[in-house]
Amino acid sequence: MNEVLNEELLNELKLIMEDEFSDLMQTFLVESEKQFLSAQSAWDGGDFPKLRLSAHSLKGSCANVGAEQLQQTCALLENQALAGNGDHVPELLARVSTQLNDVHDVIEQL
Amino acid sequence: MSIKSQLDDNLQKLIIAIDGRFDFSAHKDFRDAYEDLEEKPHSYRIDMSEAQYIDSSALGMLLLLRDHAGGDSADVEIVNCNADVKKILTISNFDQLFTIA
Amino acid sequence: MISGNGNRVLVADDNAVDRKLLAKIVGSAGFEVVEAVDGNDAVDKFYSDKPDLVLLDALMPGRDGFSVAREIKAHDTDEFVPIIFLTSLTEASDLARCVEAGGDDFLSKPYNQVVLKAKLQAMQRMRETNQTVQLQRDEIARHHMQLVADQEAAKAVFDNVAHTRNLETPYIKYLLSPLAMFNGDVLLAAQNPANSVYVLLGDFTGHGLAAAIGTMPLADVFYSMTAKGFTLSQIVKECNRKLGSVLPPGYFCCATALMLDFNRSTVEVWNGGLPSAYLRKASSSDIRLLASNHLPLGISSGDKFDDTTLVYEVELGDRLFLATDGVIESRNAAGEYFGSDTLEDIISQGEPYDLFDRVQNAVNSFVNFDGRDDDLTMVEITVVTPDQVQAAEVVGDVEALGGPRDWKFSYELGPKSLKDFNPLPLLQQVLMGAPYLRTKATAIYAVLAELYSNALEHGVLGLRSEMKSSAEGFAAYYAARVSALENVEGFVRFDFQGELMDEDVHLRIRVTDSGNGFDFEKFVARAKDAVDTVGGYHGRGIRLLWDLCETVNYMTPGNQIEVTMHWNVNDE
Repeated sequence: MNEVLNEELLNELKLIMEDEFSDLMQTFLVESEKQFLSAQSAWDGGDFPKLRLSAHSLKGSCANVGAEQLQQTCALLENQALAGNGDHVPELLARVSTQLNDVHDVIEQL
Repeated sequence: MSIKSQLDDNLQKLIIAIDGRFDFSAHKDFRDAYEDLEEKPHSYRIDMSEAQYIDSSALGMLLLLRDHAGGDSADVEIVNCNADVKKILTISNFDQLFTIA
Repeated sequence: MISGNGNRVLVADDNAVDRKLLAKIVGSAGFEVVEAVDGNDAVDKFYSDKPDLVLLDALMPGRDGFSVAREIKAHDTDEFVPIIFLTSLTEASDLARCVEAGGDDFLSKPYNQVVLKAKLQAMQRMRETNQTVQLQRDEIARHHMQLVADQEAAKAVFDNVAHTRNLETPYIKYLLSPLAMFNGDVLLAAQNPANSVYVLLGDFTGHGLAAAIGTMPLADVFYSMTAKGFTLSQIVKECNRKLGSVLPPGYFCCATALMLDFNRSTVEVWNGGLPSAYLRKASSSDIRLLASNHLPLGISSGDKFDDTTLVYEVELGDRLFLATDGVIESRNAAGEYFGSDTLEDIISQGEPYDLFDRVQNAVNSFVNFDGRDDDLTMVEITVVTPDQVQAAEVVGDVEALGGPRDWKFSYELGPKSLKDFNPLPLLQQVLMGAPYLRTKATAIYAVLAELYSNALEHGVLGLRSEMKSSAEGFAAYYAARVSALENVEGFVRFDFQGELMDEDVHLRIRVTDSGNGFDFEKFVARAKDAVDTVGGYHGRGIRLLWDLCETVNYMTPGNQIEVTMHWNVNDE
């Protein structure tokens, strides 16, 4: 689990959120899915600014729930979008999709 | 501005030396120079050799000293005035109240 | 430290996870949380909920955080609302944009609750400090307003006390800052019953209230004594006594007082401690310095006070110029003084009519600084003909036909009184007890003054008016008058008779002196010949009497004169 979610951070999050912890996690599941789909459709439409914003937003949520690998991928995607360089976008989007699934799996098992 | 005071050798005369601008900022220092002496000296000398300028509040301070020293019977001399200082003392006719040398 | 007010935090983040997390942390730190889901929502909530602190995501869809921050900062004119940017931006240039937009701090993801709470507290302290500063600023502003209001009130009082409207005449030019009172400067002008003009320019020691406080008693004495017809010597003596009794030790008033008698064409001056005043002749560039020769007012105790005045001849168009030390002590950027030599040059060179403006312009260009006039107090009086001096106002509304209708009284002064007592104010007051005489108060006083000075100076003291026919003799005459009064013998007697018949007023004044008389027939004949010639040093007095009286008669051997005045109460 350590590779997907930072356990230390998760524990801290539990302390902070108390009985709203699972609610926060559910929100993450819904929101992160939306952001991924938004990124995907931005790429399909060739909209780099929107792609950047979605990647940035997902990156922030990931940071807060301790999904560090996914966060890093989002950062790479954001930078590509910011630079207007589409060379690696399909590859990065695929990686985000995979990693996002992993994160969701872990969270659902919590 | 600075004010220094000392009694002469036989402790009869208090010499107050004014340095710089003699104006309201000197008020407290000037008064401290002659008040609170254990024994009142017989006479006073104000040494203006280092005074560049005096204003009307300084004239007021001189009057206060004169009062303190006995009013009309006071023995107060003002010495070594430069031209500007002397002019101000003269316009106010302070030579009627002080010995100005 | 989180009190009832000042604890509402706006959390603006489009990302629901981050927003919930933040809201939780902020809420658990004791703050009330308002959430906004994007930039436009943030601006709306800022106005509707008036948060005390804003946590703002930098990148949001629609309106971004930078734009929101700029609007908030532009709005908070008074209240300080700190903004903490929430960002995973890491580039220095991005952070710079946050600061530029008005951000006060940053918080990066993942949020650390310890760091966030610390930042919230720091911002809260900043807010409190800012509020304290605001309060202090408001208090200072209030004090300042109070001070300005007080000064305005003081100015109003000052205007009333100093009767500044008396200065609004064509023959007086003056410069007196509204704050002059607090600089210790005072300028007073008034007319006596004979329409002679009295002016007093004073400069009290110190500044502020201490300087202003002596103004009132000074003005009080000056106006009441001038109105009653007292002499300049008597007025300055009483001013000195009064100031001596009210001012604390060490405080005094440098002053120049003068009396311009337009009938006799003389100016009488007393200067204690002010820079020399100037008498600039109309017909030449000659100037006379009226230098200080006395201690300032408020220093010498009563009997030691020297009330000696100097009297000078003046001509039409002559100018008297008086200033406090602000003029000669004006300094330029190099620290040099304007100086009395420069002032003297300006006054003597050029035409007399624009003397005042020349001085003012010269000082202003010397100091090369606008608004300098605030510290300058100066006055110029032009010698004019008596009829150019507006008669002093008749005080009170009286029933002109009331009072005694037929009366007489005598009044005799012996040598001790002649020496230093001026009977004119007293006599004037008695005469004014008959209301129908009041419309002619000025003329009556002028006649009385003329009769009395003739009886005293020529009759009792035996001084010859011919002495006054040169400028040197003029001064000598007044010096002789002073010394002769020291050992005066004799008397002066007044006999008054008044009558009101129907609406006709008859006033008869006879003045007798103890002198030997003089060849009045020759004197009268010469004076009649000289009526049409302008100027001349003598005969002015008798011409004044002819102008104002119905009859003027000397009695042999010339130590007695009787004049009658007659008018209808309805006359102008």
